[in-house]
Amino acid sequence: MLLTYTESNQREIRSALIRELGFVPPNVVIKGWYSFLLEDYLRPYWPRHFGGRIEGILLDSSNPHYRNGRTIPGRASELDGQLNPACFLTGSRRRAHSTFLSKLAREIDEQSGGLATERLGTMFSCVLIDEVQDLVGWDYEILARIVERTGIACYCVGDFRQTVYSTSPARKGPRSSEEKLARFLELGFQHEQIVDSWRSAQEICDVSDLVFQSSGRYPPTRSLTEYREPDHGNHCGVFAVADEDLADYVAAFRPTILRDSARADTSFAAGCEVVNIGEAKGRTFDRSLIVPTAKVRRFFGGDIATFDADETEKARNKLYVAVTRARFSVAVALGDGAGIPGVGRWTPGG
Amino acid sequence: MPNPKIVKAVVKNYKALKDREFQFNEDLNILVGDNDIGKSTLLESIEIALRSTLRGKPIVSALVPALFNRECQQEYLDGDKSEDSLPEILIELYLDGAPELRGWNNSKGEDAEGISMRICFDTDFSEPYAAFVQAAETISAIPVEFYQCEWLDFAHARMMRFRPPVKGLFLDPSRLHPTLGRSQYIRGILDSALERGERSKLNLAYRELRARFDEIPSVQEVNSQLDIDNDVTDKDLSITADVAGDSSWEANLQIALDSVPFQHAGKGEQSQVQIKLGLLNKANEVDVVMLEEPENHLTHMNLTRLVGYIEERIGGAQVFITTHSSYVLNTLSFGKVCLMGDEYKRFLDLDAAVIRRLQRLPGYDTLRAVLARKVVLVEGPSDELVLKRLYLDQHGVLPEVHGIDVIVVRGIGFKNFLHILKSLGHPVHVVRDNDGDYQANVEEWFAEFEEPLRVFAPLNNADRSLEPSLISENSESVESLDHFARVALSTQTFRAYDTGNLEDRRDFLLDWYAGANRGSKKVDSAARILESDERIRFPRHLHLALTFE
Repeated sequence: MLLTYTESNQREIRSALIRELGFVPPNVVIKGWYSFLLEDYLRPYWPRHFGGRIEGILLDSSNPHYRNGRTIPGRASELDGQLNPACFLTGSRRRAHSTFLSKLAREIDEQSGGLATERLGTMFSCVLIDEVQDLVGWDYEILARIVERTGIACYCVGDFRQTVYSTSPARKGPRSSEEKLARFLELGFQHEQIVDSWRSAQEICDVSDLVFQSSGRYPPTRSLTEYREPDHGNHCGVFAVADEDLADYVAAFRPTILRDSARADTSFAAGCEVVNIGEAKGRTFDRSLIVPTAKVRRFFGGDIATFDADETEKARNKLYVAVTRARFSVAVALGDGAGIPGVGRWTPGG
Repeated sequence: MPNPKIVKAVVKNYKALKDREFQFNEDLNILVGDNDIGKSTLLESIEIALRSTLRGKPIVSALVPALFNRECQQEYLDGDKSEDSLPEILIELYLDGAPELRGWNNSKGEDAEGISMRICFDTDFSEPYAAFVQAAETISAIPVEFYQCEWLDFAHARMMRFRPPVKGLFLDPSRLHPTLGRSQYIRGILDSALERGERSKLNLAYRELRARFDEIPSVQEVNSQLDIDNDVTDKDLSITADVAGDSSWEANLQIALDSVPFQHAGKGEQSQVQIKLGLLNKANEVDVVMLEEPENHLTHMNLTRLVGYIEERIGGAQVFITTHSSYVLNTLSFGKVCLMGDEYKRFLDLDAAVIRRLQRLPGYDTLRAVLARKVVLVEGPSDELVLKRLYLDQHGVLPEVHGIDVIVVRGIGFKNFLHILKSLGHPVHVVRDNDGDYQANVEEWFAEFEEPLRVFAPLNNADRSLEPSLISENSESVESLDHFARVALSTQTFRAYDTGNLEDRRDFLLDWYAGANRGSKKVDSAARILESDERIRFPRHLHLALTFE
């Protein structure tokens, strides 16, 4: 079973299998993390006092039990020693809150005497979790159950620098990259650091390393690609493009436009694919053009430690994701040019 | 991976099956039982839960009040007709070998692998239903219009018709009528008979064939003359094969036997061929085969061949067969019989030696014996005839009217029958000769069996068999023996008999029954006893053999 968080990455995994084997073998299951929890933990051993059948999941944007800064009463996770449906389910009881999904999964497994995990063990011999950096908190309880109570071989792949989503906004740990890594080691995982990139040219890898240089946590990335300039329009690397040159650049290279959110102005890029950075995760493009936020501008301007003071890793991670999507070239819309090594200015005449 | 198997079925409110549970064998299940006891209904239940079809039609469109158990329908009609009182049909198949279908969402709350089909009220119709009840003057049937079919596995995942986790094939020889759904039915059978690659090859070749149709000179000639003056249309009108059509080869190709199209072949041939095709199961994609009364339309010789084929071909699939033929079940193995009655019985403890003996001598009417409520096993036809006469004298009707089946069993057959019947708990009475040694031939011979199986024989060793015991019973005086002899003997033999004292007359009768042609003499004599206007006396052991509490 291959598990991952986003739908686009499920598609990516599927096409990777098709590239390698020509088809998806019948004994391979590709699932999203939520579907996995729903189909293999919630439904099979659905608490009888919840009644009926759980139809699906409500994607919470924030903790559903807070309103106007206050906790709504009656939403405790247990009531009279039983799971409280008001905590885990929507009012109709037909859907489960995504926030507490893995907690509910864990409780259900607990109350059924571990039957859900046991069932999983009879179905699969191997579980691969991609983009594992997206799992937080209670998700690790599920992971722990799989590792500790089944014979399933478990492989997790991820890059904590790419944590731009998390499966739950609840406060349960682990939440930070260090905590997560520590939890993995605790669960008996072997840690293997991969510094290789199969996607991006070395020039791009070098610039991406700068994003985390000030944290001192990651070794330099080595590109395993063999792109040769003449095959790729003599345009490999990271480039700053001035506003007045954007139209020419877009016409010349047709990059995929990466933006922080729909609020960014992408009117110059008619005819190009425009993707929000959050959704670009796991995807690969030949060429990209980043529409920078103010902070990203500061970074490219030379202040590579600009993210150090941030409370969360989100903004830094997003930039890292944005830089590492392209195979050949990354352009950044920068009026004043770049102030960091490895980023030259592009002009129409070359 | 071994194919998944059906371990158990729970059926509620479906036709004759009000609330029943059935355990199955993982290889072969031979369903037997009286007519209307629900053998076919059980097969249908399995089909509905496996494929959500009823005899090939989607269950949703086949939903009619008649599918509901009559009793539960009556309870509803007699009740307050509230939404809660609407009955539901529940069919659950408990499986082994389908771990993804595991969960505890079943009527027993068991942690098990399985599939459930619930035909129940659709709660979205709560308001319209209330309005319907209010407005209706009389409701004469369950309003299935308000029903839905909820098809889930025990892990509560929705089942998909085109991706069934357990594939079932229903072979029903009577279905091959040239009516609706025939081509689909044949397609199902062919699907099981062909490998995936073979199917695509046929489909491709069929497309090509249709494409080539347009190229044939005579077709082109017809087309060139079709609308030569453009009277019909300004465009170029032609007749063409429907290459882009959605019908694929299965709908248009035909099976032929010696070039005779399938539906014109004999009934027996059709029936055999479809069963064999279905069992080919080349792609090993069929997990469950349901086969209804394979003996239909077949001569004994063809049935012999077919049964051999079934045995050979079962492979990894689980097979369910309904039958009325003792031959079929003896040959396929009596140990696989699933007896449907008030109780559901299997013969799991049956001695392997008995099973083998029945396979070698499949002529025994074992089915008749297990279906009878009360059984009297006798040694020969003369015993049967005499017992019938005794019962007529006692009750004015033949024993079968009261559910007592007198079955003639010869020689070693007795014990085969007794071993089969002992697990049923039915009363079985054996009428046996003592052959001169009651102790050895009756008591010791029967020692391994117990109530409600009982043995009856003349106690006196001198009354070796039926005829001597009849003679003894009627030997009170010359008059009484003469009366017996007049009933039992032909006029000619009676004349030869009619001399001497009681002793002489007795000896004559004993010698006569033991003499030449004794077999036919005994039967003739018993037939005379049965048909006579006069009554005779019958020995005590026969009276007892016909007495069931």
